[in-house]
Amino acid sequence: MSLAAILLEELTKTYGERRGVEALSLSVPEGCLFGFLGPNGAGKSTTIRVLTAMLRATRGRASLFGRECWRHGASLRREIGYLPGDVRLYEWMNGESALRWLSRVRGRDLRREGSELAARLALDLRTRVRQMSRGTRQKLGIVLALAHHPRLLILDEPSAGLDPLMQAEFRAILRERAAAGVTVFFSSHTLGEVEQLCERIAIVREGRLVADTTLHELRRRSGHVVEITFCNPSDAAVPPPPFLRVTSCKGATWSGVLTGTPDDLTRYLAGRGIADLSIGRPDLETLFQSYYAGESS
Amino acid sequence: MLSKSIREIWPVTFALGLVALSLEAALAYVLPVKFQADFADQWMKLGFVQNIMRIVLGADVSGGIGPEVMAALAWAHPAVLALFFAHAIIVCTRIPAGEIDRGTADTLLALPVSRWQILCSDAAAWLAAGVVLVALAYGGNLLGGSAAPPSSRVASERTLPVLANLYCLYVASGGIAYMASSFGDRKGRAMTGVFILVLVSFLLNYLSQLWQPLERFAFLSLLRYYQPLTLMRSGGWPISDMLTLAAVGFTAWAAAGAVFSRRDIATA
Repeated sequence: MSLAAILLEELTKTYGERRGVEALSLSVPEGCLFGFLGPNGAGKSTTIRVLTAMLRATRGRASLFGRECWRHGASLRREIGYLPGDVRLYEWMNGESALRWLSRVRGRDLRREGSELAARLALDLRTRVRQMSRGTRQKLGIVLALAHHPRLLILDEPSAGLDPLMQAEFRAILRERAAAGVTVFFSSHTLGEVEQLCERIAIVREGRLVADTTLHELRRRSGHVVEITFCNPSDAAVPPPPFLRVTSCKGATWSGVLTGTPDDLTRYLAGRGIADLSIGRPDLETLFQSYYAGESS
Repeated sequence: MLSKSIREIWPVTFALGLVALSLEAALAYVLPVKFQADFADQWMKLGFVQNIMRIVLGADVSGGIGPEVMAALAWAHPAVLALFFAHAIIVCTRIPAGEIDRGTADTLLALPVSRWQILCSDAAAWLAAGVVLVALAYGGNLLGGSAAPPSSRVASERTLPVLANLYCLYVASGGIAYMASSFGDRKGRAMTGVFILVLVSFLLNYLSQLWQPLERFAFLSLLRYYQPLTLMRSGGWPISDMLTLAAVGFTAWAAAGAVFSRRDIATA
Protein backbone atom coordinates (compact mmCIF):
# COMPACT_ATOMS: atom_id res chain seq x y z
CA MET A 1 0.00 0.00 0.00
CA SER A 2 1.43 3.38 -0.95
CA LEU A 3 1.98 5.89 1.81
CA ALA A 4 -0.19 8.99 1.90
CA ALA A 5 1.81 12.02 0.87
CA ILE A 6 -0.23 14.11 3.29
CA LEU A 7 -2.13 12.78 6.24
CA LEU A 8 -4.07 14.99 8.63
CA GLU A 9 -5.65 13.28 11.60
CA GLU A 10 -8.08 15.35 13.66
CA LEU A 11 -5.80 18.33 13.15
CA THR A 12 -6.73 21.29 15.30
CA LYS A 13 -4.91 24.58 15.43
CA THR A 14 -6.08 27.48 17.56
CA TYR A 15 -4.52 30.87 18.14
CA GLY A 16 -5.55 31.53 21.71
CA GLU A 17 -9.30 31.91 21.50
CA ARG A 18 -9.25 32.18 17.73
CA ARG A 19 -9.93 29.17 15.56
CA GLY A 20 -7.53 28.13 12.84
CA VAL A 21 -8.72 24.67 11.88
CA GLU A 22 -10.83 22.22 13.83
CA ALA A 23 -10.51 18.42 13.78
CA LEU A 24 -9.42 18.32 10.16
CA SER A 25 -8.83 14.84 8.75
CA LEU A 26 -7.56 14.39 5.26
CA SER A 27 -5.48 11.97 3.25
CA VAL A 28 -3.78 12.91 0.00
CA PRO A 29 -2.29 10.01 -1.94
CA GLU A 30 1.08 10.30 -3.65
CA GLY A 31 1.02 11.60 -7.20
CA CYS A 32 -2.32 13.34 -6.76
CA LEU A 33 -3.23 16.83 -7.93
CA PHE A 34 -5.19 17.97 -4.94
CA GLY A 35 -7.11 21.21 -4.61
CA PHE A 36 -7.69 22.63 -1.17
CA LEU A 37 -10.51 25.10 -1.37
CA GLY A 38 -12.24 27.50 0.89
CA PRO A 39 -13.13 31.14 1.29
CA ASN A 40 -10.69 33.56 2.87
CA GLY A 41 -10.16 32.79 6.56
CA ALA A 42 -11.41 29.21 6.20
CA GLY A 43 -8.15 27.70 7.46
CA LYS A 44 -6.33 26.87 4.22
CA SER A 45 -3.15 28.77 5.03
CA THR A 46 -3.19 27.55 8.64
CA THR A 47 -3.25 23.96 7.38
CA ILE A 48 -0.41 24.66 4.98
CA ARG A 49 1.64 26.33 7.70
CA VAL A 50 1.20 23.29 9.91
CA LEU A 51 2.33 21.08 7.03
CA THR A 52 5.44 23.20 6.51
CA ALA A 53 6.16 23.18 10.27
CA MET A 54 5.73 26.89 10.69
CA LEU A 55 2.86 26.26 13.06
CA ARG A 56 2.60 23.53 15.63
CA ALA A 57 -0.67 21.61 15.83
CA THR A 58 -2.67 22.29 18.97
CA ARG A 59 -4.18 18.81 18.77
CA GLY A 60 -4.15 15.97 16.31
CA ARG A 61 -1.42 15.08 13.89
CA ALA A 62 -0.11 16.24 10.54
CA SER A 63 2.34 14.08 8.67
CA LEU A 64 4.03 14.00 5.29
CA PHE A 65 5.16 10.67 3.87
CA GLY A 66 4.51 9.11 7.25
CA ARG A 67 6.69 11.54 9.19
CA GLU A 68 5.27 14.03 11.65
CA CYS A 69 5.59 17.54 10.23
CA TRP A 70 6.75 19.47 13.28
CA ARG A 71 9.30 16.93 14.48
CA HIS A 72 10.81 16.18 11.08
CA GLY A 73 10.32 19.63 9.59
CA ALA A 74 13.89 20.23 8.41
CA SER A 75 14.34 16.82 6.76
CA LEU A 76 10.85 16.91 5.24
CA ARG A 77 11.54 20.26 3.67
CA ARG A 78 14.18 18.57 1.53
CA GLU A 79 11.32 16.81 -0.21
CA ILE A 80 8.93 19.74 -0.33
CA GLY A 81 8.60 22.69 -2.61
CA TYR A 82 6.62 25.43 -0.89
CA LEU A 83 5.16 28.55 -2.42
CA PRO A 84 3.72 30.96 0.15
CA GLY A 85 0.53 32.87 -0.48
CA ASP A 86 2.35 36.17 -0.59
CA VAL A 87 5.84 35.57 -1.94
CA ARG A 88 8.35 37.89 -0.28
CA LEU A 89 11.99 37.53 -1.13
CA TYR A 90 15.10 39.33 -0.02
CA GLU A 91 15.24 42.62 -1.84
CA TRP A 92 18.97 42.43 -2.51
CA MET A 93 18.54 39.19 -4.42
CA ASN A 94 17.86 38.61 -8.05
CA GLY A 95 16.79 35.34 -9.59
CA GLU A 96 20.33 34.20 -10.27
CA SER A 97 21.62 34.90 -6.77
CA ALA A 98 18.49 33.34 -5.28
CA LEU A 99 19.17 30.14 -7.23
CA ARG A 100 22.84 30.19 -6.23
CA TRP A 101 21.83 30.59 -2.58
CA LEU A 102 19.24 27.85 -2.80
CA SER A 103 21.75 25.56 -4.51
CA ARG A 104 24.14 25.99 -1.59
CA VAL A 105 21.42 25.40 1.01
CA ARG A 106 19.96 22.38 -0.78
CA GLY A 107 23.40 20.98 -1.57
CA ARG A 108 23.03 20.66 -5.34
CA ASP A 109 23.24 22.92 -8.34
CA LEU A 110 19.75 24.12 -9.24
CA ARG A 111 20.76 26.81 -11.71
CA ARG A 112 20.11 24.82 -14.89
CA GLU A 113 16.70 23.59 -13.76
CA GLY A 114 15.86 27.04 -12.41
CA SER A 115 16.84 28.72 -15.68
CA GLU A 116 14.65 26.33 -17.66
CA LEU A 117 11.67 27.01 -15.43
CA ALA A 118 12.34 30.75 -15.62
CA ALA A 119 12.41 30.55 -19.41
CA ARG A 120 9.06 28.79 -19.47
CA LEU A 121 7.58 31.46 -17.21
CA ALA A 122 9.23 34.31 -19.15
CA LEU A 123 11.13 35.41 -16.06
CA ASP A 124 14.33 37.42 -16.33
CA LEU A 125 16.56 36.08 -13.57
CA ARG A 126 18.76 39.16 -13.63
CA THR A 127 16.03 41.48 -12.33
CA ARG A 128 16.44 42.47 -8.71
CA VAL A 129 13.63 41.49 -6.36
CA ARG A 130 13.13 45.10 -5.33
CA GLN A 131 12.32 45.94 -8.96
CA MET A 132 9.92 43.05 -9.44
CA SER A 133 6.15 43.33 -9.70
CA ARG A 134 4.00 41.00 -7.67
CA GLY A 135 3.52 38.69 -10.63
CA THR A 136 7.24 38.54 -11.31
CA ARG A 137 7.95 37.78 -7.66
CA GLN A 138 5.35 35.04 -7.88
CA LYS A 139 7.15 33.58 -10.89
CA LEU A 140 10.45 33.58 -9.03
CA GLY A 141 8.72 31.99 -6.04
CA ILE A 142 7.47 29.24 -8.34
CA VAL A 143 10.94 28.69 -9.79
CA LEU A 144 12.46 28.44 -6.31
CA ALA A 145 9.74 26.06 -5.15
CA LEU A 146 10.07 23.74 -8.13
CA ALA A 147 13.73 23.84 -9.09
CA HIS A 148 14.89 21.05 -6.78
CA HIS A 149 12.25 18.62 -8.11
CA PRO A 150 10.46 18.08 -4.82
CA ARG A 151 8.38 15.02 -4.13
CA LEU A 152 5.57 17.18 -2.81
CA LEU A 153 4.54 20.66 -3.89
CA ILE A 154 2.61 22.74 -1.40
CA LEU A 155 1.30 25.84 -3.09
CA ASP A 156 -0.72 28.52 -1.38
CA GLU A 157 -2.80 30.44 -3.93
CA PRO A 158 -0.13 29.81 -6.58
CA SER A 159 -1.53 31.61 -9.58
CA ALA A 160 -2.28 34.87 -7.81
CA GLY A 161 -0.66 37.66 -9.77
CA LEU A 162 0.03 35.58 -12.88
CA ASP A 163 -1.48 36.61 -16.17
CA PRO A 164 -3.71 34.04 -17.97
CA LEU A 165 -0.92 32.93 -20.31
CA MET A 166 1.43 32.28 -17.44
CA GLN A 167 -1.31 30.58 -15.47
CA ALA A 168 -1.76 28.15 -18.37
CA GLU A 169 1.99 27.52 -18.53
CA PHE A 170 2.12 27.03 -14.80
CA ARG A 171 -0.72 24.53 -14.96
CA ALA A 172 1.14 22.67 -17.70
CA ILE A 173 4.22 22.48 -15.49
CA LEU A 174 2.16 21.15 -12.61
CA ARG A 175 0.54 18.53 -14.82
CA GLU A 176 3.98 17.39 -16.00
CA ARG A 177 5.17 17.12 -12.44
CA ALA A 178 2.08 15.20 -11.38
CA ALA A 179 2.54 12.85 -14.34
CA ALA A 180 6.06 12.21 -13.05
CA GLY A 181 4.63 11.17 -9.67
CA VAL A 182 4.90 14.44 -7.77
CA THR A 183 2.07 15.20 -5.35
CA VAL A 184 0.64 18.68 -5.82
CA PHE A 185 -1.35 20.17 -2.98
CA PHE A 186 -2.58 23.63 -3.60
CA SER A 187 -4.98 25.97 -1.94
CA SER A 188 -7.20 28.29 -3.81
CA HIS A 189 -10.38 30.23 -3.58
CA THR A 190 -10.67 30.55 -7.34
CA LEU A 191 -12.52 27.83 -9.07
CA GLY A 192 -11.07 28.01 -12.55
CA GLU A 193 -7.69 26.54 -11.79
CA VAL A 194 -9.17 23.83 -9.58
CA GLU A 195 -11.52 22.80 -12.34
CA GLN A 196 -8.74 22.67 -14.91
CA LEU A 197 -6.18 20.96 -12.77
CA CYS A 198 -7.45 18.89 -9.93
CA GLU A 199 -8.40 15.30 -9.60
CA ARG A 200 -9.51 15.62 -6.04
CA ILE A 201 -10.58 18.47 -3.87
CA ALA A 202 -11.28 19.22 -0.26
CA ILE A 203 -13.34 22.17 0.84
CA VAL A 204 -12.88 23.84 4.20
CA ARG A 205 -15.22 26.30 5.74
CA GLU A 206 -14.79 27.97 9.12
CA GLY A 207 -11.90 25.64 9.89
CA ARG A 208 -13.79 22.45 9.22
CA LEU A 209 -13.71 20.06 6.32
CA VAL A 210 -17.02 20.10 4.49
CA ALA A 211 -16.10 18.02 1.46
CA ASP A 212 -13.32 15.67 0.40
CA THR A 213 -14.07 14.14 -2.94
CA THR A 214 -13.40 14.10 -6.67
CA LEU A 215 -14.82 16.79 -8.90
CA HIS A 216 -16.76 14.13 -10.78
CA GLU A 217 -18.32 12.79 -7.60
CA LEU A 218 -19.08 16.29 -6.43
CA ARG A 219 -20.93 17.03 -9.62
CA ARG A 220 -22.72 13.69 -9.50
CA ARG A 221 -23.89 14.22 -5.94
CA SER A 222 -25.05 17.71 -6.58
CA GLY A 223 -28.09 16.66 -8.66
CA HIS A 224 -29.41 18.55 -11.71
CA VAL A 225 -30.53 22.08 -12.05
CA VAL A 226 -33.90 22.24 -13.77
CA GLU A 227 -36.16 24.94 -15.08
CA ILE A 228 -39.67 24.01 -16.21
CA THR A 229 -42.18 26.34 -17.82
CA PHE A 230 -45.68 24.88 -17.98
CA CYS A 231 -48.16 25.76 -20.71
CA ASN A 232 -50.83 26.04 -18.06
CA PRO A 233 -49.88 28.18 -15.02
CA SER A 234 -52.17 26.09 -12.81
CA ASP A 235 -49.72 23.17 -13.21
CA ALA A 236 -47.10 25.28 -11.48
CA ALA A 237 -49.44 26.11 -8.61
CA VAL A 238 -49.55 22.56 -7.23
CA PRO A 239 -46.90 21.23 -4.81
CA PRO A 240 -43.84 19.83 -6.62
CA PRO A 241 -43.01 16.13 -6.47
CA PRO A 242 -40.68 14.96 -3.65
CA PHE A 243 -37.71 14.43 -6.00
CA LEU A 244 -37.77 18.05 -7.10
CA ARG A 245 -36.71 20.84 -4.79
CA VAL A 246 -38.22 24.02 -6.19
CA THR A 247 -36.26 27.05 -5.15
CA SER A 248 -38.25 29.59 -7.16
CA CYS A 249 -41.71 29.65 -8.67
CA LYS A 250 -42.53 32.58 -10.94
CA GLY A 251 -45.81 32.39 -12.85
CA ALA A 252 -45.76 29.16 -14.80
CA THR A 253 -42.02 28.53 -14.23
CA TRP A 254 -40.36 26.35 -11.64
CA SER A 255 -36.64 26.60 -10.97
CA GLY A 256 -34.98 24.12 -8.67
CA VAL A 257 -32.80 21.10 -8.11
CA LEU A 258 -33.68 17.62 -9.22
CA THR A 259 -32.73 15.23 -6.43
CA GLY A 260 -34.25 12.21 -8.16
CA THR A 261 -33.37 10.83 -11.59
CA PRO A 262 -34.17 12.45 -14.95
CA ASP A 263 -36.44 9.47 -15.52
CA ASP A 264 -38.51 10.43 -12.45
CA LEU A 265 -38.91 13.89 -13.90
CA THR A 266 -39.91 12.83 -17.39
CA ARG A 267 -42.52 10.45 -15.95
CA TYR A 268 -43.92 13.28 -13.83
CA LEU A 269 -44.04 15.73 -16.72
CA ALA A 270 -45.64 13.24 -19.16
CA GLY A 271 -49.19 14.38 -19.89
CA ARG A 272 -48.59 17.94 -18.71
CA GLY A 273 -48.15 20.69 -21.25
CA ILE A 274 -44.54 21.92 -21.20
CA ALA A 275 -43.69 25.23 -22.83
CA ASP A 276 -39.97 25.02 -22.05
CA LEU A 277 -37.64 22.67 -20.19
CA SER A 278 -33.96 22.85 -19.33
CA ILE A 279 -31.97 20.38 -17.28
CA GLY A 280 -28.27 20.28 -16.55
CA ARG A 281 -25.52 20.00 -13.95
CA PRO A 282 -25.02 23.03 -11.74
CA ASP A 283 -21.97 25.05 -12.60
CA LEU A 284 -19.16 24.60 -10.14
CA GLU A 285 -19.24 28.19 -9.04
CA THR A 286 -22.77 27.71 -7.72
CA LEU A 287 -21.75 24.43 -6.17
CA PHE A 288 -18.81 25.88 -4.34
CA GLN A 289 -20.71 28.89 -3.23
CA SER A 290 -23.27 26.62 -1.64
CA TYR A 291 -20.45 24.79 0.18
CA TYR A 292 -18.84 28.02 1.22
CA ALA A 293 -22.12 29.30 2.53
CA GLY A 294 -22.85 26.01 4.28
CA GLU A 295 -26.02 25.34 2.41
CA SER A 296 -24.96 22.24 0.54
CA SER A 297 -26.75 19.01 1.11
CA MET B 1 22.75 30.35 5.42
CA LEU B 2 25.92 32.05 6.60
CA SER B 3 26.41 33.81 3.27
CA LYS B 4 22.87 35.17 3.42
CA SER B 5 23.43 36.54 6.93
CA ILE B 6 26.74 38.08 5.92
CA ARG B 7 25.14 39.63 2.85
CA GLU B 8 22.47 41.20 5.04
CA ILE B 9 24.76 42.34 7.83
CA TRP B 10 27.67 43.81 5.92
CA PRO B 11 26.08 47.10 4.78
CA VAL B 12 25.17 48.15 8.32
CA THR B 13 28.50 46.83 9.64
CA PHE B 14 30.39 48.75 6.99
CA ALA B 15 28.41 51.94 7.58
CA LEU B 16 28.56 51.87 11.38
CA GLY B 17 32.15 50.62 11.22
CA LEU B 18 33.16 53.68 9.22
CA VAL B 19 31.37 55.92 11.70
CA ALA B 20 33.13 54.11 14.58
CA LEU B 21 36.46 54.48 12.81
CA SER B 22 35.96 58.20 12.27
CA LEU B 23 34.64 58.78 15.76
CA GLU B 24 37.49 56.92 17.42
CA ALA B 25 40.03 58.68 15.21
CA ALA B 26 38.55 62.03 16.21
CA LEU B 27 38.38 61.17 19.90
CA ALA B 28 41.89 59.68 19.98
CA TYR B 29 43.25 62.86 18.47
CA VAL B 30 41.05 65.56 19.92
CA LEU B 31 40.82 64.40 23.54
CA PRO B 32 44.56 64.43 24.36
CA VAL B 33 45.49 67.33 22.09
CA LYS B 34 42.63 69.71 22.74
CA PHE B 35 41.16 68.73 26.07
CA GLN B 36 43.71 66.98 28.28
CA ALA B 37 45.39 70.18 29.38
CA ASP B 38 42.08 71.96 29.93
CA PHE B 39 40.75 69.01 31.89
CA ALA B 40 43.82 68.83 34.08
CA ASP B 41 44.18 72.59 34.62
CA GLN B 42 40.63 73.85 34.87
CA TRP B 43 37.70 71.48 34.56
CA MET B 44 38.80 68.92 37.08
CA LYS B 45 38.82 71.61 39.73
CA LEU B 46 35.05 71.71 39.42
CA GLY B 47 33.37 69.10 41.59
CA PHE B 48 30.53 68.31 39.19
CA VAL B 49 32.95 67.71 36.29
CA GLN B 50 34.85 65.26 38.49
CA ASN B 51 31.55 63.54 39.19
CA ILE B 52 30.63 63.35 35.52
CA MET B 53 34.03 61.91 34.65
CA ARG B 54 33.72 59.38 37.45
CA ILE B 55 30.27 58.41 36.21
CA VAL B 56 31.31 58.11 32.57
CA LEU B 57 34.53 56.24 33.29
CA GLY B 58 33.36 54.27 36.29
CA ALA B 59 36.44 55.17 38.34
CA ASP B 60 37.78 58.06 40.39
CA VAL B 61 39.76 60.59 38.36
CA SER B 62 40.52 63.13 41.09
CA GLY B 63 44.14 61.92 41.14
CA GLY B 64 44.82 63.64 37.84
CA ILE B 65 44.19 63.44 34.14
CA GLY B 66 46.76 61.34 32.35
CA PRO B 67 46.84 59.74 28.91
CA GLU B 68 44.99 56.68 30.30
CA VAL B 69 42.00 58.80 31.28
CA MET B 70 41.78 60.35 27.83
CA ALA B 71 42.24 56.96 26.17
CA ALA B 72 39.56 55.44 28.40
CA LEU B 73 37.22 58.33 27.60
CA ALA B 74 37.57 57.50 23.91
CA TRP B 75 36.25 54.01 24.62
CA ALA B 76 33.61 54.97 27.17
CA HIS B 77 32.17 57.86 25.21
CA PRO B 78 28.37 57.52 24.97
CA ALA B 79 28.49 57.98 21.20
CA VAL B 80 30.88 55.05 20.83
CA LEU B 81 28.80 52.84 23.09
CA ALA B 82 25.64 53.90 21.25
CA LEU B 83 27.22 52.80 17.96
CA PHE B 84 28.00 49.34 19.29
CA PHE B 85 24.58 48.98 20.89
CA ALA B 86 22.89 50.20 17.70
CA HIS B 87 24.74 47.65 15.59
CA ALA B 88 23.87 44.81 17.96
CA ILE B 89 20.22 45.85 18.11
CA ILE B 90 19.83 46.29 14.35
CA VAL B 91 21.56 43.02 13.49
CA CYS B 92 20.20 40.78 16.21
CA THR B 93 16.54 41.65 15.88
CA ARG B 94 16.47 40.42 12.27
CA ILE B 95 15.70 36.82 13.20
CA PRO B 96 12.93 36.01 13.64
CA ALA B 97 11.09 39.33 14.19
CA GLY B 98 12.67 41.09 11.21
CA GLU B 99 12.03 38.16 8.89
CA ILE B 100 8.40 37.91 9.95
CA ASP B 101 7.96 41.66 9.74
CA ARG B 102 9.14 41.92 6.13
CA GLY B 103 7.41 38.69 5.15
CA THR B 104 10.53 36.70 4.24
CA ALA B 105 10.13 34.22 7.10
CA ASP B 106 8.13 31.93 4.81
CA THR B 107 10.98 31.81 2.32
CA LEU B 108 13.57 31.25 5.03
CA LEU B 109 11.65 28.60 6.93
CA ALA B 110 10.79 26.67 3.78
CA LEU B 111 14.45 25.73 3.49
CA PRO B 112 15.62 22.31 4.64
CA VAL B 113 17.41 23.61 7.70
CA SER B 114 16.37 23.67 11.32
CA ARG B 115 15.60 26.89 13.13
CA TRP B 116 18.64 26.34 15.33
CA GLN B 117 20.80 26.12 12.21
CA ILE B 118 19.36 29.41 10.99
CA LEU B 119 20.05 31.06 14.34
CA CYS B 120 23.56 29.61 14.62
CA SER B 121 24.51 30.80 11.13
CA ASP B 122 23.15 34.23 11.87
CA ALA B 123 24.95 34.40 15.21
CA ALA B 124 28.23 33.42 13.54
CA ALA B 125 27.83 36.30 11.08
CA TRP B 126 26.88 38.66 13.89
CA LEU B 127 29.87 37.71 16.05
CA ALA B 128 32.18 38.14 13.07
CA ALA B 129 30.61 41.52 12.31
CA GLY B 130 31.29 42.52 15.92
CA VAL B 131 34.97 41.74 15.46
CA VAL B 132 35.02 43.87 12.30
CA LEU B 133 33.33 46.71 14.14
CA VAL B 134 35.78 46.59 17.04
CA ALA B 135 38.70 46.31 14.61
CA LEU B 136 37.53 49.34 12.63
CA ALA B 137 37.04 51.33 15.82
CA TYR B 138 40.53 50.32 16.98
CA GLY B 139 41.92 51.23 13.57
CA GLY B 140 40.40 54.67 13.98
CA ASN B 141 41.84 54.94 17.44
CA LEU B 142 45.33 54.09 16.18
CA LEU B 143 44.93 56.51 13.30
CA GLY B 144 43.86 59.39 15.54
CA GLY B 145 46.47 58.48 18.13
CA SER B 146 49.25 58.51 15.52
CA ALA B 147 48.51 62.17 14.86
CA ALA B 148 48.63 63.01 18.57
CA PRO B 149 51.89 63.59 20.50
CA PRO B 150 53.63 60.31 21.48
CA SER B 151 53.42 61.25 25.16
CA SER B 152 49.61 61.04 25.02
CA ARG B 153 49.51 57.55 23.55
CA VAL B 154 48.70 54.46 25.56
CA ALA B 155 50.41 51.14 24.92
CA SER B 156 48.34 48.68 22.90
CA GLU B 157 48.68 46.08 25.70
CA ARG B 158 46.48 48.37 27.77
CA THR B 159 43.96 48.93 25.01
CA LEU B 160 43.41 45.31 24.00
CA PRO B 161 41.68 44.29 27.26
CA VAL B 162 39.33 47.26 26.80
CA LEU B 163 38.53 46.12 23.26
CA ALA B 164 37.86 42.58 24.47
CA ASN B 165 35.65 43.93 27.22
CA LEU B 166 33.81 46.14 24.73
CA TYR B 167 33.29 43.15 22.45
CA CYS B 168 31.78 41.19 25.35
CA LEU B 169 29.48 44.13 26.07
CA TYR B 170 28.45 44.01 22.42
CA VAL B 171 27.83 40.24 22.70
CA ALA B 172 25.66 40.70 25.78
CA SER B 173 23.51 43.38 24.15
CA GLY B 174 23.21 41.32 20.95
CA GLY B 175 22.12 38.23 22.88
CA ILE B 176 19.43 40.27 24.60
CA ALA B 177 18.33 41.64 21.22
CA TYR B 178 18.00 38.08 19.86
CA MET B 179 15.86 37.20 22.85
CA ALA B 180 13.56 40.19 22.39
CA SER B 181 13.29 39.36 18.71
CA SER B 182 12.42 35.73 19.36
CA PHE B 183 9.22 36.66 21.13
CA GLY B 184 7.95 39.17 18.59
CA ASP B 185 6.72 39.54 15.06
CA ARG B 186 7.77 43.18 14.62
CA LYS B 187 11.37 44.28 14.32
CA GLY B 188 10.53 47.81 15.37
CA ARG B 189 8.97 46.66 18.60
CA ALA B 190 11.87 44.34 19.38
CA MET B 191 14.36 47.14 18.72
CA THR B 192 12.44 49.54 20.91
CA GLY B 193 12.31 46.98 23.71
CA VAL B 194 16.06 46.39 23.65
CA PHE B 195 16.77 50.09 23.29
CA ILE B 196 14.77 50.78 26.44
CA LEU B 197 16.59 47.99 28.24
CA VAL B 198 19.96 49.37 27.21
CA LEU B 199 18.92 52.87 28.21
CA VAL B 200 17.78 51.66 31.63
CA SER B 201 21.06 49.77 31.98
CA PHE B 202 22.94 52.95 31.05
CA LEU B 203 21.01 55.08 33.52
CA LEU B 204 21.21 52.50 36.28
CA ASN B 205 24.97 52.39 35.98
CA TYR B 206 25.30 56.17 36.05
CA LEU B 207 22.69 56.93 38.68
CA SER B 208 23.87 54.19 41.03
CA GLN B 209 27.10 56.15 41.37
CA LEU B 210 25.19 59.22 42.42
CA TRP B 211 22.41 57.76 44.50
CA GLN B 212 23.29 55.22 47.16
CA PRO B 213 20.00 53.24 47.25
CA LEU B 214 20.47 52.30 43.60
CA GLU B 215 23.91 50.87 44.26
CA ARG B 216 22.51 47.46 45.24
CA PHE B 217 20.87 47.15 41.78
CA ALA B 218 23.92 48.27 39.86
CA PHE B 219 24.96 44.66 39.20
CA LEU B 220 21.99 44.47 36.83
CA SER B 221 23.52 47.01 34.50
CA LEU B 222 25.60 45.71 31.61
CA LEU B 223 27.85 48.75 31.84
CA ARG B 224 28.82 47.74 35.35
CA TYR B 225 30.98 45.10 33.68
CA TYR B 226 32.71 47.51 31.33
CA GLN B 227 35.34 49.64 33.08
CA PRO B 228 37.81 51.01 30.52
CA LEU B 229 39.65 53.35 32.88
CA THR B 230 40.32 50.65 35.44
CA LEU B 231 41.64 48.45 32.66
CA MET B 232 43.77 51.22 31.16
CA ARG B 233 45.33 51.87 34.52
CA SER B 234 45.91 48.28 35.54
CA GLY B 235 46.60 46.78 32.12
CA GLY B 236 44.96 43.58 33.32
CA TRP B 237 42.35 41.46 31.61
CA PRO B 238 38.85 41.76 33.09
CA ILE B 239 38.20 38.03 32.95
CA SER B 240 35.32 38.02 35.40
CA ASP B 241 33.55 40.97 33.74
CA MET B 242 34.07 39.46 30.30
CA LEU B 243 32.74 36.10 31.41
CA THR B 244 29.73 37.74 33.01
CA LEU B 245 28.90 39.67 29.82
CA ALA B 246 29.55 36.66 27.61
CA ALA B 247 27.36 34.50 29.84
CA VAL B 248 24.54 37.06 29.66
CA GLY B 249 24.87 37.17 25.89
CA PHE B 250 25.04 33.43 25.46
CA THR B 251 22.19 32.71 27.89
CA ALA B 252 19.94 35.27 26.21
CA TRP B 253 20.86 33.93 22.76
CA ALA B 254 20.22 30.33 23.85
CA ALA B 255 16.87 31.38 25.32
CA ALA B 256 16.10 33.06 21.99
CA GLY B 257 16.93 29.81 20.22
CA ALA B 258 14.71 27.80 22.55
CA VAL B 259 11.80 30.19 21.97
CA PHE B 260 12.36 30.46 18.22
CA SER B 261 12.62 26.71 17.73
CA ARG B 262 9.31 26.13 19.51
CA ARG B 263 7.17 29.08 18.52
CA ASP B 264 4.60 29.42 15.80
CA ILE B 265 5.59 31.56 12.86
CA ALA B 266 2.53 33.25 11.48
CA THR B 267 2.52 35.91 8.83
CA ALA B 268 2.76 39.39 10.25
